[in-house]
Amino acid sequence: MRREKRARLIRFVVATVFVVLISIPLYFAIIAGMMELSEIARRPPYLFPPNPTLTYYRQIAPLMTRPLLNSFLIGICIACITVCLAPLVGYGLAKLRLREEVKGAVLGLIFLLQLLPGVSMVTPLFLVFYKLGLINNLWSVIVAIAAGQVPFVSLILATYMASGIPNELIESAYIDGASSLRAFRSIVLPLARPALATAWLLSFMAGWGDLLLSMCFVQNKSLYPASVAMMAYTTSYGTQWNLLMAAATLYALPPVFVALVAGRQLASGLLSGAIK
Amino acid sequence: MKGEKWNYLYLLPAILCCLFVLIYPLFYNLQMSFREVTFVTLTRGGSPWVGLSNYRSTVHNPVFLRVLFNTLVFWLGSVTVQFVLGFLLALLFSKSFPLNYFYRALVLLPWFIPLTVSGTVFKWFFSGETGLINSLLLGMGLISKPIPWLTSPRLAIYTATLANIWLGIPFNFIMLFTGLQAIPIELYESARVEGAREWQLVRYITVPLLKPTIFLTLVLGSIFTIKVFDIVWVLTGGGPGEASHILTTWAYSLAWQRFRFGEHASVIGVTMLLISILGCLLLFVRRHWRAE
Repeated sequence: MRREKRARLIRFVVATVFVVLISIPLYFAIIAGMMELSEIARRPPYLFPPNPTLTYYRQIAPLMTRPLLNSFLIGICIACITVCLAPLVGYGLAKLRLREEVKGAVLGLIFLLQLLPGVSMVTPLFLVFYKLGLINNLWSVIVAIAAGQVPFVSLILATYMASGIPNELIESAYIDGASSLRAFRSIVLPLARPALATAWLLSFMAGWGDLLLSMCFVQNKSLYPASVAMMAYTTSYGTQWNLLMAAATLYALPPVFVALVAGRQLASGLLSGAIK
Repeated sequence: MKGEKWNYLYLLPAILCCLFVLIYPLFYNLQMSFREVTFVTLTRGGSPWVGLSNYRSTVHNPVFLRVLFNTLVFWLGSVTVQFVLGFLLALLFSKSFPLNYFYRALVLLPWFIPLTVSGTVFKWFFSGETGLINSLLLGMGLISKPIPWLTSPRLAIYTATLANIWLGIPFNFIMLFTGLQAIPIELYESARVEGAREWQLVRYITVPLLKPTIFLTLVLGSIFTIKVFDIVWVLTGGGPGEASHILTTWAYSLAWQRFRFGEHASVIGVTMLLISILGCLLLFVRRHWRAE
């Protein structure tokens, strides 16, 4: 087995090289936030901060607090709306005896929605929110993104329910006289809990990361989410990369943490929505 | 079962959402592409019908050809390189080695970092005088003066493609990795017994069996790439000038920087046409796959 041992070692080394290369942007963003501008510009670059300092993190943190809070609010609201509505649709698609044509039509709509580029939604949705007086209101961003998330997440949940929840359980509930809603609440929801957690996180991150819609719907600086605030700092701080990278790190940390803990589940969730 | 009709209500949230963010925007854009719309007439109505004039001025716009070329470079460059790297990683990670499980989470990381962050980081990496890449190349003596990654009209789209490749690796990796898990290990073992070499296993077992997944990955990857907006917008903003616009960023800037909403809608029309072709291909691939 010595040959297999050596092969494992070689694979480990190659994988380490790949992983290091992939992690470079995040790593250098983190350490650039700890360095002086002159240290950042050194040729060749420092691989570790020579005199690590938290000055720039401290300097940018007060400016990022409000935007990060806005992003957090957007993310939470979208996640809650999505997780309230999408399981109903997923249940309908996966477990209820509905006419196949109707299910097919809904699946077709969801399929089309995934083809639609975000930029084609901006103007029509702007107009709706403008008429409703919701421009410069975070609800415009929340409603728009949640409406995009609900169909997609429904598909993820339908896939999970179809394979993960046995029909017999639901049928036995019917025999006991339960309504479809009752069976949903007492059997499907508890069993779908892991998928619901994935769905919650995915829709949270869709809101947390949004740039395009926020850029158009939110012009009031105090309502800027972190993405739009970062774009504004890029204009005003120009090449003060240490401040910008400190801001970027603060904005990236929550999803990075989530991805390290649950990245594999999230990825397979995303896939089950895209492949179906 | 009683009251089965009411069960259709379960589908209602998805239908309403699709009406709001899919059907309505599609039709609104379509009619807007035949009108001359300014910001005032956008909100107040009364924009005049101009027929195909928006499409004509889009096609005759000197930027249009450049945008098509950029979209092609961005699309082909991203999809091919992402795919090759994703495939190599998937092959590697389907074998056992220490830390495999932990490393997999790190490979997926680019997928979950906010695009504005990735864009800003790459903006620093590729900036002229103080950018990390130029500092590295200059410091190692590989180049004698900084490469204008983002400020050269010729280079900018290739730089944006490089950044997008990094973003797309996780998707390609996990698609192909999941596909590899489904191939029965006995196939490899019996081939090995018969003396097949490692590359022969890939060539004659992995690739043929993985074909449906490979097609699906390429087509889905293409659709996602045509839809990309954020990374290019943050990294180059379509600049310098209009040299690095792809269809989506050009459409956005026509509407929200120049307030030419009619032309904006016609560019979206062109984009949708391209995506529809890919969408048909996707349907075909999936049907073909199910039939197998």
